[in-house]
Amino acid sequence: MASSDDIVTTSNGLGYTSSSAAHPETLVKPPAAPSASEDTIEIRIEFGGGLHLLFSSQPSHKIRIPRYEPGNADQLPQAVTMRYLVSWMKSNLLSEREEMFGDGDGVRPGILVLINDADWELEGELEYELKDRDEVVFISTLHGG
Amino acid sequence: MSCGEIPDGLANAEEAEAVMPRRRQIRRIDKSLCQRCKTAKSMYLIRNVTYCKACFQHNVFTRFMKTLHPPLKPSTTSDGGTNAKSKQTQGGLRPPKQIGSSLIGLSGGSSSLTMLDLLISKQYIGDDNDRIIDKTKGEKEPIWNKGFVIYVEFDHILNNQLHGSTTPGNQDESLLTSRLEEIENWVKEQNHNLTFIGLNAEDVFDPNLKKRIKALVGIQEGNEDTQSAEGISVDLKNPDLPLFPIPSSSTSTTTPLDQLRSLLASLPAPSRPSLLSSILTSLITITSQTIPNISHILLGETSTRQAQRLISGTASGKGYTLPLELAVSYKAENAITILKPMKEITTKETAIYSYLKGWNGFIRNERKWDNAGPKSKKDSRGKGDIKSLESLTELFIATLAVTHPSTVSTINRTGDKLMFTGEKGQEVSCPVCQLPVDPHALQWKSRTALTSLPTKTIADISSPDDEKNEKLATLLCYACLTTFTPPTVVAKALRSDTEPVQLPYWIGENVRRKVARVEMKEDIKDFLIGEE
Repeated sequence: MASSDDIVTTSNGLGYTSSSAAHPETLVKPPAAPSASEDTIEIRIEFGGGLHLLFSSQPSHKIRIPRYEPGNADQLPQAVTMRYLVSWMKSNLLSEREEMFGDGDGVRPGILVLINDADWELEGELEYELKDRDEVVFISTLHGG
Repeated sequence: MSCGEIPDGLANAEEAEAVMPRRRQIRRIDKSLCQRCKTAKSMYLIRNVTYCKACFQHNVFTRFMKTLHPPLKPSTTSDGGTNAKSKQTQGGLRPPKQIGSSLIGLSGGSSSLTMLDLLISKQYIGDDNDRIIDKTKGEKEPIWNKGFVIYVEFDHILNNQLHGSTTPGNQDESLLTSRLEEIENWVKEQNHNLTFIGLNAEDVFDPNLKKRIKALVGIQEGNEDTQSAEGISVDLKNPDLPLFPIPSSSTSTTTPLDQLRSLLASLPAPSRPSLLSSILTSLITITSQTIPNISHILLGETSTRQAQRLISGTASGKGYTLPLELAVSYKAENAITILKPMKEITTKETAIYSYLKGWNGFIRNERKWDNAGPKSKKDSRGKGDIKSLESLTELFIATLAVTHPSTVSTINRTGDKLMFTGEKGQEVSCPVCQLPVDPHALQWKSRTALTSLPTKTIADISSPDDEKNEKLATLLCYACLTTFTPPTVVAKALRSDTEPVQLPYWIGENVRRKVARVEMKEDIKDFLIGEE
């Protein structure tokens, strides 16, 4: 358990700085440890258009998530998708105001998502399967002038 | 087969075809190649067309050019003999050099930064050093010799809830001033000799505004700059909005920021964004008139923002002046031409362009005007900060655009068909928004809107003195009148003893100028030759 905790919390850029020290209850626990093989992938997340203010004011995050979707031990392993990443972010990175980022399964209208610099609409949106070292950028376009 | 007659047995198939399927499935585009160059991998999907990075940037610039060039070119042959070919090249050829300089509105959002970058990198704005352009080396003649950049800071009046404080002014001072400095530094980094003018929203209450602008630009101030410090205040209790002059001799210790806050506090939250919009416009107008030799004002309004303004403007009663506001080029009487070269470009494209340039962390797209002024319990009705018509419309359009990508262009195409019905040169302008007033709007409103109940003793409020005061309500356009007299304001003011609230100086000046003109006309009316 301790070692799997280390994998998640020692990554830099999670952004829990002084604000979380003042409010320890907001420090969200890392997700359940991935399966015994500890197969995780690194994802780089960037925010633009002022969206980082919802994520502890950190514009850049480097996170590790399991390579395969957890909870499918008896079936063929399913690679994690953007859908998983969005819900992971809502539970672990979002420091406030969930409705400003998420909308059901997906992201709020007005938020542009780029995966490795490409429009996510061309990559399958929520169904895109994440690979190691993928770079995902979320840009808020509302009120952009 | 005529419609309505479905042969038996085919009914189901026909019905299935007749009903349009709901499009909320993932759009898997098979064309993985850029649809323009057909060689590179497609990276972006704009209006159902795929582009690679290079073609995308080229496309943005082409559309920018096609919007910016026509208003700057002298009109073509008057005999209407412009054939298709010349129309095609009209967008491509560079317009002639303009006599004056340009004033660029920078909000710190993706669109205005993209516009400024295009203007500088494609040499539309020169760096004011009068050097000879060598066309053989690919250099281009700048259209404007010099550029001035104006940025207006609104942070001081916003409730910055993200920092855990709902009371303005409680935040760290260094946090509040940093955005203006950030923008100023960014402009300096462009190394293009652009003069930066950073103003605050509360400067509309500063009698020395023009002096300050001249000092920022480095111009000697003249005698006409000592603006009369005579202010003007309005009584919001009275639906006629009587005005009271505040003599310059009155000693007041309230700062411009406090005056703006008290004005915002006296209006309900849904009215505040339109007031802030008028403040922004007036600051840009005053600056353009104070700096000598400005020929054009360039604003970075995108097609997405345009669609939102069209719908929310119609809903708030601005229909009369919408065709002027939405035009690519608009020149008011005695004012400077306003250009909107980003009119055909969507916010999504400007966001991608800004990201490719690496400004991601720097851009702040949200205006947050819904958070201006004090928060009241009633304001929490709106979900997620949505309190005004403008932000509600914006969210509506953004949501619709997810399933219907041509939403914005459809709205704008419809809006482009609107024509201004007023007579040129005969327009009376509203003292607040400085756009023409529909002369019939107030007559219509007096017939349809309930402005007072006969049983309530409104007579108690108005006194004989009121007859002498100028009534703002008769001078305003319909939309601005709605901003200042929503029913909640009047009802609230009636309940409490509210003092007249001070208005910004530009409104007072416009009212005085109008009154002076009317009086002048009265004096000379006997000498005017009638229209025979």
